[in-house]
Amino acid sequence: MTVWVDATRLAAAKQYQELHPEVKLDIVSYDGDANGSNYLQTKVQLFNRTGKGWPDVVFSSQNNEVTWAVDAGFAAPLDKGLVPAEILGQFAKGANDVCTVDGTVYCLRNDLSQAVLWYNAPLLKQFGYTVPRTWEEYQQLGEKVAAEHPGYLVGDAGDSFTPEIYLWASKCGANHITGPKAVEVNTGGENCTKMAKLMDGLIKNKSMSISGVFSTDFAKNETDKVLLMPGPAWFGGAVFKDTLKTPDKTIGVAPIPQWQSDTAPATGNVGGGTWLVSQHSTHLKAATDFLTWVTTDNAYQGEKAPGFPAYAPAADSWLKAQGASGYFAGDLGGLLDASSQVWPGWGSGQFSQEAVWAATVKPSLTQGQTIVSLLPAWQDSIVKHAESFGYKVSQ
Amino acid sequence: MTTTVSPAVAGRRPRGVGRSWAGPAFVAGYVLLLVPFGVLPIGYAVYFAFTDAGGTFPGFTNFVSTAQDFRFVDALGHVAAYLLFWLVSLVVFVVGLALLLHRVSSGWASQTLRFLYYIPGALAGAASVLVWLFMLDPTVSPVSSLLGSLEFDTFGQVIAPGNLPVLFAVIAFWTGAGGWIVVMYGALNNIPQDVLEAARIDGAGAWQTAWHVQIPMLRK
Repeated sequence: MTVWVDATRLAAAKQYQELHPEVKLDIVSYDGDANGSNYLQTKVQLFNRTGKGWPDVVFSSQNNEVTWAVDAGFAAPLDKGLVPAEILGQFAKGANDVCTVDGTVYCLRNDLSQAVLWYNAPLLKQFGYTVPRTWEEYQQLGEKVAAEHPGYLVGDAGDSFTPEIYLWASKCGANHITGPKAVEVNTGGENCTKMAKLMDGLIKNKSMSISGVFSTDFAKNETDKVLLMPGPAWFGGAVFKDTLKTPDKTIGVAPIPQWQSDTAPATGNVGGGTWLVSQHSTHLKAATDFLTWVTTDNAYQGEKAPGFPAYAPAADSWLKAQGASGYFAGDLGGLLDASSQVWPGWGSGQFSQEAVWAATVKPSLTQGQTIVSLLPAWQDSIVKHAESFGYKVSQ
Repeated sequence: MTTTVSPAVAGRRPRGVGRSWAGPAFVAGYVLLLVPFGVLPIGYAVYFAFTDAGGTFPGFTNFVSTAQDFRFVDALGHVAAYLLFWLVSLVVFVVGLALLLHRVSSGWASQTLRFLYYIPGALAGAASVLVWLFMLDPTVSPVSSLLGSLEFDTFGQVIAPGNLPVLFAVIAFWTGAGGWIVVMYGALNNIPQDVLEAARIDGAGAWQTAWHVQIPMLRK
């Protein structure tokens, strides 16, 4: 049985192999389609032509794989006899929406990537600040930090997933998927412009960096300068613990700020991978067993997984395990609350919003242009990318 | 490549020492690998270009939809810019470096230089790219002061889309030039010594010899 995983999920596949030595597992690592690469799709198209070579189970760090994998005859329907309904029913509400096409589930969500506000608790205390609850307070704090403690950061806007943290949380209508091949794009709405303005102000006063949290520049210059950081659930493990090596009992979680005028809380979402099983698999039972284990079993999802498990019972264990590990300052309840607050007006289309942002907005941002001034170009680029995938776009 | 190599080998045969099978034997290894890894994939790619996902023949539909894509013109421009930078730099610098190398009289220095020129070409493509990712990132680059003097402070600024054709040309030159320098050096060695001697007696300097004698003879 062949399993394709990204570098982070390699540990999961290896753990499965250790626990199930009788299964002959061929583990292949690939880029996981990170940043909107089309690796999996391209390969599946080739395998479809050659008639062989498909992996039996595959992990993708993107949420939009079923938009092509069903039509390509690759993804196996999971709720038609492979995975029992009682297991499917225990995934967090809405977690497998991105896996569902015409009411049939074609993939299982690995983790939820709800955005929260990460903060450095001892530093915040030392500076005498409190965690902002609204975006207005967040902006004021950014200005205060720039004036009183220049060099310290309240966020980063340099990654390809930056719009999924800030603009999605602000309910910016850049990616409203209205049908299987229909999308509504409007980056000029107030929810987009007011967040863009907020970010521009903080980028200008340098309390928000534009390096990107995984860049060498960030690792070298900003590691101990992070005061606040809006980011997805997996920032806790992947960024603070593993990349920036932030010490124990430092990083805490708060709900992502809301606009003062908003009544219901909303947040964004950055990926949260999915697992697919191949229709072509000759080991469908073994593949399903692997899939079920890797998405629901406490041995991986509850204890080892770097991100917030999409399978609710595993998420409970995961939260307990994270609390017991003593790494975080305070409890991680903020993550649980946020898991049901992801704004549903931003979808997962076949085109990659991350690739669009990386190609259109990020380079100009690096050259010193403002996000507000780039909103029309961003819109234009989303529309063109969507249309190239055959989407009907309304603006 | 084969079509140019084989006649040259065949043409040299009457001149003497080599036996008749020596030339084909040398080329055979190359041809053996060229067919599965060069010729067949090209044929396969052409076949794919004229079939759709269902394996039927849709004529030029694939080409039309590619040409109509909003990224097509930009992409074409980038490839053209890359080719221009790469070809010009390759021709000018390879010939220049080969001429310099040819003037190095010490055998030891010449051998060392040829070896150094050749090293980057020996690295696999992926390794070369990693080396350059490292070189071009001002945070970790050993030449970060040079990047800084060109007003590049972050990796993002260095790899801005407009810079990419030039950067790729530099990387391609770095990985590919070594082999050509050695080839050109060999060609320069084939220019009879008496011709260069005659040029020197007629009062030609290094520059004039290169421009009027060596480069024209290289072109033959």
